[in-house]
Amino acid sequence: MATANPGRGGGRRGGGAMDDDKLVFETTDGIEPITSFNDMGIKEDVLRGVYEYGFEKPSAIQQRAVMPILQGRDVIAQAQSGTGKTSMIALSVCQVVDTSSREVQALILSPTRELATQTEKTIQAIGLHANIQAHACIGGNSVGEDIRKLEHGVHVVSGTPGRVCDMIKRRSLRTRAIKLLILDESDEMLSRGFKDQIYDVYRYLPPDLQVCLVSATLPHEILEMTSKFMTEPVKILVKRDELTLEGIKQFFVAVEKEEWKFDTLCDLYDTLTITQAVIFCNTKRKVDYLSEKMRSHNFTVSSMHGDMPQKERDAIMNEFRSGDSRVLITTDVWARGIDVQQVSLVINYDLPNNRELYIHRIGRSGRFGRKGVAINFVKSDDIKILRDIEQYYSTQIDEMPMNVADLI
Amino acid sequence: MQQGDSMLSLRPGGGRGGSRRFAPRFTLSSSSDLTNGGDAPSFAVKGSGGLLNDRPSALVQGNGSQQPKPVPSPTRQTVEKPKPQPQPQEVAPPTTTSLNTVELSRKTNSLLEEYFNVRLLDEALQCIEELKTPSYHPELVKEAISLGLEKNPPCVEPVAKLLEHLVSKNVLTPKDLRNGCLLYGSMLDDIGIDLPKAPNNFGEILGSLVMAKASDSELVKEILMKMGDEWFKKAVLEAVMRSVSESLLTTEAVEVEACRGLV
Repeated sequence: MATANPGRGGGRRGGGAMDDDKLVFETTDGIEPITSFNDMGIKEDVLRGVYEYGFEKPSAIQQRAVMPILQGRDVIAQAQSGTGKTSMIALSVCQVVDTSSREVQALILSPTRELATQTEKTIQAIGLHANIQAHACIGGNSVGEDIRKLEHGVHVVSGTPGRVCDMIKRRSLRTRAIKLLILDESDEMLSRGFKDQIYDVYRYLPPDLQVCLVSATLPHEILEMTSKFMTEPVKILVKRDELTLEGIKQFFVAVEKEEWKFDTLCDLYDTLTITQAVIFCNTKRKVDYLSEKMRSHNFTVSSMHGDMPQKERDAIMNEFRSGDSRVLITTDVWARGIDVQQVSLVINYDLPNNRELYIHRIGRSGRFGRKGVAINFVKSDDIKILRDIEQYYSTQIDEMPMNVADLI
Repeated sequence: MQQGDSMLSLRPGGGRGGSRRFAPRFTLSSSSDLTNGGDAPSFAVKGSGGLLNDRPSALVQGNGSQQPKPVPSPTRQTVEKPKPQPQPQEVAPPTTTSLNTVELSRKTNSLLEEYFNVRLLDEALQCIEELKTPSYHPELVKEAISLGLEKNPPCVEPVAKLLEHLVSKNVLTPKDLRNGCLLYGSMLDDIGIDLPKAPNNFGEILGSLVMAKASDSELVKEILMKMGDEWFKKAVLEAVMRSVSESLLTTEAVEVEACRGLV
């Protein structure tokens, strides 16, 4: 069982007078990464849950954040989604909870019901053998179930600040035994307007509370919150593998008219199948139209968009990943999910109408090596959009050379 | 810097600009589609409905490498298949009805997500028409508001623009719009717990609808009567008032006072 932070006591909350103007985030020195779960002193039942969940080795954030939390320290972790922070939270919580007591001992606040539910599921998976009971309060038709679950007794509760506050005020959620509060995606919570609710929840919690805050960014408002909630927090920074355009050769083809895009694509087809290629359209109807037209001209393509049943989408994705099909026509909704290593050619049949989408379509992360070719089909009235993208990303998009196949 | 970048790319003005730029272009594209449709018989089938879109796609995909000639045949067969279906569905057991509702819900969410991504009003309009289920439109209105306001930042303007567009094109009836807003309003007490900005955002949408003559203050009053949380009711009404012009407030002074009386 984690002891309360030695620095706290006497019922006093937050720091003394602190000059808010000088709030600044500097990572704490001397935090040695722990590179094996076995070296963290994790209980056997929890360890079993961790390995069954699929982890073999701690991620960067797990290496750095778990031990300070287990030692009872307040922690600020700067980390984005995608760094494994949810499983870090789940692991820490499962380790500190005393299952001989049927009281809520850990509380996790999230910006959305979806994230609260995901957190709940992760805790249940990792805590399966340790018999950890977790519940996400999601309201709606589940208010009755929320109340019954809480009254029956669970060890961990997750929810949005508003929902948790509502349950506390209804006296369905008892807070007397809560010793760990985790604020997940705190910057997102503040931007969604949860500031008052977070402070309200905090006011109901015991004075010797341990607080951990996770946030992708640390604006002043967050640092102000940490100065009020925390005592001498350990500060950790973990970066996600970022998408980058570095190493991607980007070209455009001036097709002038919409109907000339198709001919251009046919001319490029042999180049497409040298490797694996993804073709992006802006809408599902365009995906349907283009894939049908390609097939009617004897070109082999796969296509995927949100209107398709999940099974069909999974099958198409498997086909593409395995290399059975080499050309995939799709929309942006799937751009973030296409992490196929062999893809080294991306075609923007339509330019994305949101600059941010461009890097999601074309960018590569470090784990796949930074190389590839992107070809943008540009109508006469698209030229300005293309130049906006160039400027926004400080990148260069040249006219496509004749020997583009040699570059893939 | 990351925060700044994020804010830049998500700026509502940017969204508006994008919408303005791309809608006309897609009109050209649509015209192009029609032209190509004339050349490719199989294309004509695509426009005949969402359900059909699934089947031809799967069939054609399976025959991807075949000669062009066989393509029309499977498509034609598929066209004939759905004809008997309407009759059985009318007397189908509840499970089938539920399945249809699930499918409708999935398609609705998909087309709305796409709209929030690309902001093409006419594209969304055509996708909705392809659902061919007018009785589902109030639910669609509710889902559009719900999905739009769950995003961060909330898609207030895109939701309002979409609803106004659908009403102006007679795809949505005023009654559909009213019932959809009432559906959402009746859930708002609970939604607001997880989305603190939702009452305010919903008020802004209602205000836009009133300004566009797609709705009126009578609807605002009905919604306020369905809500229970005083704080949320106040947030909705204040947002409506801020979104409605001074002259319109004067014109509907009686209704405005009636709304105030509910808060």
